[in-house]
Amino acid sequence: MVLVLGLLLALWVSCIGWGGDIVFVVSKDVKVEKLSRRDLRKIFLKEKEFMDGYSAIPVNLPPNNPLRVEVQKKILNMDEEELQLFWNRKYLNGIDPPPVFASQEAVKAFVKKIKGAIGYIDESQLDEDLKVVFRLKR
Amino acid sequence: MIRVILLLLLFSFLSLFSFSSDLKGFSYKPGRGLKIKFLKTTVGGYITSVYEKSQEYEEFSIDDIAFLIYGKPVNRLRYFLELELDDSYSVVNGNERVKKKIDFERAYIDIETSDALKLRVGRFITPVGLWNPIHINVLKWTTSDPLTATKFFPKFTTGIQLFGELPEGFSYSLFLQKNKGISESYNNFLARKLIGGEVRKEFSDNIKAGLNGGWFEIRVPKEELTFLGLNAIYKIPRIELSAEFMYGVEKEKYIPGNSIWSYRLSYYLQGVYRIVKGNYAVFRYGFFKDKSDRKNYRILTLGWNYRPVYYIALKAEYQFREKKELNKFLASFSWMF
Repeated sequence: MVLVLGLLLALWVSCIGWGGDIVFVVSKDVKVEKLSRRDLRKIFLKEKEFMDGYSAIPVNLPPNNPLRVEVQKKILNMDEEELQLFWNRKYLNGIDPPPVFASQEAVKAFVKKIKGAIGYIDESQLDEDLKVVFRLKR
Repeated sequence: MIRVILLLLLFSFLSLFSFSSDLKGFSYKPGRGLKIKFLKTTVGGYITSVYEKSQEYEEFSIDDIAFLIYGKPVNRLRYFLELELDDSYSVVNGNERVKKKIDFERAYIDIETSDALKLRVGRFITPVGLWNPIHINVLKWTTSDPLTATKFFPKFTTGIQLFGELPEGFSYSLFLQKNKGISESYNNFLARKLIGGEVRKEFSDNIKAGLNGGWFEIRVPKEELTFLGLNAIYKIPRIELSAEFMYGVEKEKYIPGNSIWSYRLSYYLQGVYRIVKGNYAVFRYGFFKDKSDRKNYRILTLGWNYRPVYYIALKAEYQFREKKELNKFLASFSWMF
């Protein structure tokens, strides 16, 4: 009975995407130690384009990914419709939204490889090649 | 007319599809353009058609057919090119007119040294106020523009612009022109000398304000105009409130050595409310006073903006003016591809 309840709980947790904090990560070789929420907002809206002298390259998880939904709500402070209108304006000024990676593994691989890249993952996915520059409490 | 409608239908049909093919290095998404990855280039554009009706005037036009090409071929360097067929087809009070002229709406390169210092060279949108930087139909809340955004400075500048982000939420733009403009007849003022700037402050995610000023010389009729403006915008989910104020001092030089001084001022207050998903109600009150023609203009605009998908906008508005016979209905259909 306890085992069944445990499995159901695990299934529920994975369905709602609840986990640890969301951490914003860069390569450990990047000199930036901390970023504010406002910095992150500007980076992910392509209004701040440099980080530690490198071009900042924000990367997203797919739409509807629970982590992205939370980042959109708490960091960008916009709903999906507002965000699309925002990117309309950017598109007509020659600026594209951040590229989308299919999984947290793909985000990690890209961030490790490219200096200036910044992504977000669940803290359980952290490893020693990544540096946390912001922690979003869940 | 049939050819134009067929063209519009073709574009709208194509815009319903998106495809992605990383193998071939191309990807397309409606309203975000065709990405040619190996060239680090995006090709896209937008189309707008407008209908306008007042007591004695009726016009249907293909207002804009614009093509964009932009990219970032190397680090710290961007280019942007926008070619436009403006008013390419119109029917005014039953008379058909076809124009076959292509203009450069924008053509510039950006050199980015840091977030605090970026340089733009070429023809670009004059970075003044809230409305002018988003004057493209598909981005605006209404088809019409407030006079505050059209009577005080040239919409486009051909020259250089320095801009960037400063600490404490400040940002700035400085611009200068001292030459013949690119596509200079495609502008609201024919100016070859222009200088100005704007400082903006972001108080929070929701509140921004700006202060701008500048000077330019109009070639025909010979005039100088010095302008000063203030603007602010407040945004929360579902609601956007904005206001702009502009004041201009004119120096008319009809006779050498004998100038006539005058002034003009204008403001608008606008509210936008998202009623349900994709449907926005728009309210705007605008005022314009030009001392030289001793007239005041008051325009109350009530509008509706419908976005069935993010890359298509349908708009309708009714303008109430002081003289009933000048009241006007406007509607437009625009989409990005």
